[in-house]
This record gives sequence, structure tokens and C-alpha cells, in this order.
Amino acid sequence: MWFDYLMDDCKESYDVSQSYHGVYFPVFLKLIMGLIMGAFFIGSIATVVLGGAFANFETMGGYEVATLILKSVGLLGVLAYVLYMLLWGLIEVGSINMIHAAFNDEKPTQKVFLNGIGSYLAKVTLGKLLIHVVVLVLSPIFLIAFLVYAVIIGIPTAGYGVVFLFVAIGVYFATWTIAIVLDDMDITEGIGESIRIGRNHFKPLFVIVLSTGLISSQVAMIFGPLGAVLAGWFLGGLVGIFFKMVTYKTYMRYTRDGNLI
Amino acid sequence: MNRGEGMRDISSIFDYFKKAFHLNKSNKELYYPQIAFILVKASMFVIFGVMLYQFVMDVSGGQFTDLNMISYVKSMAWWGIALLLILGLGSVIMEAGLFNMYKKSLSGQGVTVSDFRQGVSTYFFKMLLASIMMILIWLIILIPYMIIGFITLFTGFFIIPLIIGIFTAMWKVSIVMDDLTVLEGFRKGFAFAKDNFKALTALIIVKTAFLSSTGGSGGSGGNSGSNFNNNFNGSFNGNTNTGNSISESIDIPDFSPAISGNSFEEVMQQVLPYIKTGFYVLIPVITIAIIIGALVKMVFEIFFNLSIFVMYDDIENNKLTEEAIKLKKDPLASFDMEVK
Repeated sequence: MWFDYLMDDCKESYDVSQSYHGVYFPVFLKLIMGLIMGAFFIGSIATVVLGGAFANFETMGGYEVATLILKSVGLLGVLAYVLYMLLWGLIEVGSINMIHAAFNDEKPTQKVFLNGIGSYLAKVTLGKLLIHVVVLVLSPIFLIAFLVYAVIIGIPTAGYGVVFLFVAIGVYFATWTIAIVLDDMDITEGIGESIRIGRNHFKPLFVIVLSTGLISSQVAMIFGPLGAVLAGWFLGGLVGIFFKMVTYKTYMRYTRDGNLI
Repeated sequence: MNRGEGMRDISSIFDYFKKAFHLNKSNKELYYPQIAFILVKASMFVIFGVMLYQFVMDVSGGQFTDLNMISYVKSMAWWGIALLLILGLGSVIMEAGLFNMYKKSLSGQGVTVSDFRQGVSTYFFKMLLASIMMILIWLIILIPYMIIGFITLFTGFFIIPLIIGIFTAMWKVSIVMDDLTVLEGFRKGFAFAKDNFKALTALIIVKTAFLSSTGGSGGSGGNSGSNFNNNFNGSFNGNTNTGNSISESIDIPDFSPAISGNSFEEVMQQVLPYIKTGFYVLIPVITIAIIIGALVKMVFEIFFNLSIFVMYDDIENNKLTEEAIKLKKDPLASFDMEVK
């Protein structure tokens, strides 16, 4: 029974996380990532301004001003995106390594975190880039389809239709990074495997993705807006890592334990 | 029994979820009363919408004198009060009946609709009293709650309801499960929450995440009817605006430059087709949204309420087993307990 398996996986994930608190270390790395991104933005803007890019601002025409701003913002945006993708990839791969180690009764250390970073960082980062590019290229179609869906299904279902749509999409992309890191797959193989698992085991993954979103946002806001700013990243992050562990267990269950798909 | 004995780890909530899932699957009758209540709520919304429509038509037809406008407002107010009373009492009836059904489902027997009726006749007044006491508790702590909320920069506004929710989560459950009085139930529910704080907190947070984040309105429980009330308020606000327009027609100074130069009737005649279309579209769409939203929330609500009942049942049974084992080992302990 899929729900029993899911609850067993949740229980085991909780017990493992209690034995190896190190699995939650990436929560702090995500905070550092946020700080780095913030420092990058402030530093970049300061450099651009102090470098004299806007020195003759008053004498420029409207077109020149617009071009200058677009160039600066565009360049900063691209650099910030590259930085974000690299840091995200690093944390994602390291996090999976640590979870894998913890489930194998091995202490999740810094060495474990960095294990295989060289091989998988590029794949995971490029995989995310590929997904972003596909979404960007198809965004006009997605936007129109979404608007039609929101009006026909979203409004009469009191918003549930929209929530469940995003969760359902999340189901098909829930395990591709795990597939790449654990089974040494290529980008397309990993995404294909994730879609296959999502299709064949939709129900447990749907519960995982829905719970991750609802519980992490609820826990982040548990102390109100002030608490959300000061501790929301930590509390929400703990829930996120916990459900990452459950996703890992679910992936292992349906690709290892005699449940090959 | 020492404090902390029988305390369960957070991971045990997954076992409760598992059992609740199977109980949920094998007792589909649990959904019937809720579905009926949701349909009642949706029907009331439709009736209210039709009344509002009639009101707007009468206003646009210029069928108003000072006298019958007052009677209109009075009848609307009575209808509003009746609606709130029906919803409030309906929620208590649902709670009493459903809690008895949850209890029966735990015994392994099949649940029937007669269990709902039995629950209503047995627990209605207890549930009503508990709900009134809960409202009174909130009224008493309202001012300190506001002060603490502002002093703690809004943190208190979130933490206090959560803590109250945890310590009263088992109040009505123990009233039904152990056939206790309202005060005994409160004491036992409070002690239960104290002994099993971590696991119960986790369960309540997960339940709140699913029920509050998704909005909508289920049939039972204290938070039922919220979406309906929101929609009701929305409709009522619309009505208030119409009321402003009426006041313009009865020689109150004109505050709206947009319609100056035209009589109220002329403006109403121009916008009437749009208002009519709005009613024709919005009433069915909102009604469907209320029904679907409530149905989805109902599924979560029954599941998490069953989980809470499973938790209570499991821990209380374990406690009894532990006590029985203790007594077997040391028969004199029973005398100690009696002396205490």
C-alpha cells in the first residue's frame, strides 16, 4: 500500500535525521547562499555606480539612459543567475550526498558533502539551466494555457485547481537530481527517469510535494512575520531537508527494492 | 503515573496517519454528513444571492420608499443573523455527530449514519457548552492577547492561538472518547497535551498547514464555514454599496461625481444589464467554488481529525496497559494510587 510505504519512509527519514543532524547542514549553506547573493547585488551596484557608469546621467537623453540601465541590470542579472545556479547546484549535490550517507549509517561530513561535486555539479546545474530554457522558450504557450486553466478550473475550484496543478508538475521533476547523483545518469536520462517515477508513483510523490510546500510555509510563519524573517529560513529549511530525505527514500524504494519500473 | 510516561516521539505521528488513512478508506460513511452540510451551506448561499438579486432589482425599479427600505434592511439583518446561527449550530451538530462516528470507527465496527444521530443526541449539549466556553476564554484573553501580540511585534498573534489550539485539541476528543463532562474533558485534554506536547504540536502544525493554507470550508470543527463567511461578507459588502446608492435616491447629498447630472434611476437602468450578468455568472461560480473548496477541505479535515482520535486512543490504551502491567508486578501500587 503506497501510503503505508510513504509513512514508513517518513518515519525512517525522521529517525535517521535525529541520528545524524549533519543532514540539516545545507540549511545554513542556503542562508550563506542568500547572503552571498545579497552581497553580490549590493557590491555590484556599488561598483557600477562608483566606477562612474552613471557619471554623466544628467546630460544623457532618454534612450541613452534606458540603454545604460538595461545593460547594467542585464549584465548584473546574468552574473547573479550564473552565481545562483552554481551555488544551488553545489548545495543540491552536497545535500543528496549527505542524505545518502546518513541512510547508509555513515556520518555526513564535509568530505561526504564534497564527494562527487566535480562530476555532478555541472550536470545538475546544466539540467536546471535546460529546464529554465525550455520554460522560457515555451513561456508564451504556458502563460496562455495557464490563464485559460485558471479561469476554467482555478476559479470554480476555489484555487485548489491551480495549487494541485503546480504540485502535479512538481511531481514529475521531484527526483531528477537524485537520479543524476545516485545513478550517475545524464541530464536527459535523469529528467526522463524522474518523469517515469512521477508517472508510475504519482500518489506518494504528490503527497510529498504538497506537504513540502504547505508545511514548510506554515512552519516558516509559525512565529509571525518577525519570526519568518529571523528564523523562517531555518524552520522552513528543516522541513525542506526532511522531505528531501523522504523523496530520497521514495526514489530508492521504487528503483531498488524489487520495485523496478 | 509519572509525568512524561506514555509520551510519544514525533515519529509516532506517522503511525497515526497510517491508521487514520485506512480508517478513512474503510469508512466512507464519515463523508455523508459533511457532504449534506456542505450542500446546506451552498443552498443558503444561493438563497442569499437570490435575495440580494431581488433587492438590487427592486432598487433599480425605483420601488423604494423610506419605509420599505427599512423593512428590507431589517429582513436582511434577520436573515444574516439566522444564517450565522444555523451555521454555528450546524457546526456543533456536525462535530457531535462526527466525533461519535470517529469513536465508533476506532472500535473496528462499521460506521453508520445512525452513529451520527446517536452522537448528536449524546454530545450536542456538551459540545455546545465547550464551544461557548471556548468563545468565553477568547473573550477573556482578548485584551491581553492584543497587548502581547503588539508587544512581541505580532509574534504573539501567531503563537498564542497555536498554544491554545494544542492544549484544547483533545478537549472535545476526551469528552467523546471517555464520556466525560465538559470540565473533566478539559482537564484530561490539557493533561494529555502536557504529556505529549511534542507529538501533538507536530500533528497540530501539520493539520493547520493543510487546513489553513488551502482555504475553503469543510463541514465540521471550529473553523468550519470560514470560506462561506468570507463569501458572505463579500456579498454583503456589495449590498452595502447598493445601500449607499439608495441613500442617494432619498435626497441625501450626492457624493459621487461620476453620476452627477443623471438621476439615480437612469444610472441604474444603464448598469442594470451588467449587474444582472454579474449575478447570473457569480452566483453559480461562487457556489461551485464553495462546494469544491469545502469538499477538498473536508477530505483533509476528516483525515487529520481521525489522526487525532487515533493518537488519543493509542496513548490512552498504552497507558492502561502500562498501569495493568505495573499492578500485576506490584499489587500494592493500586493502594498507593488510591491513597494519592
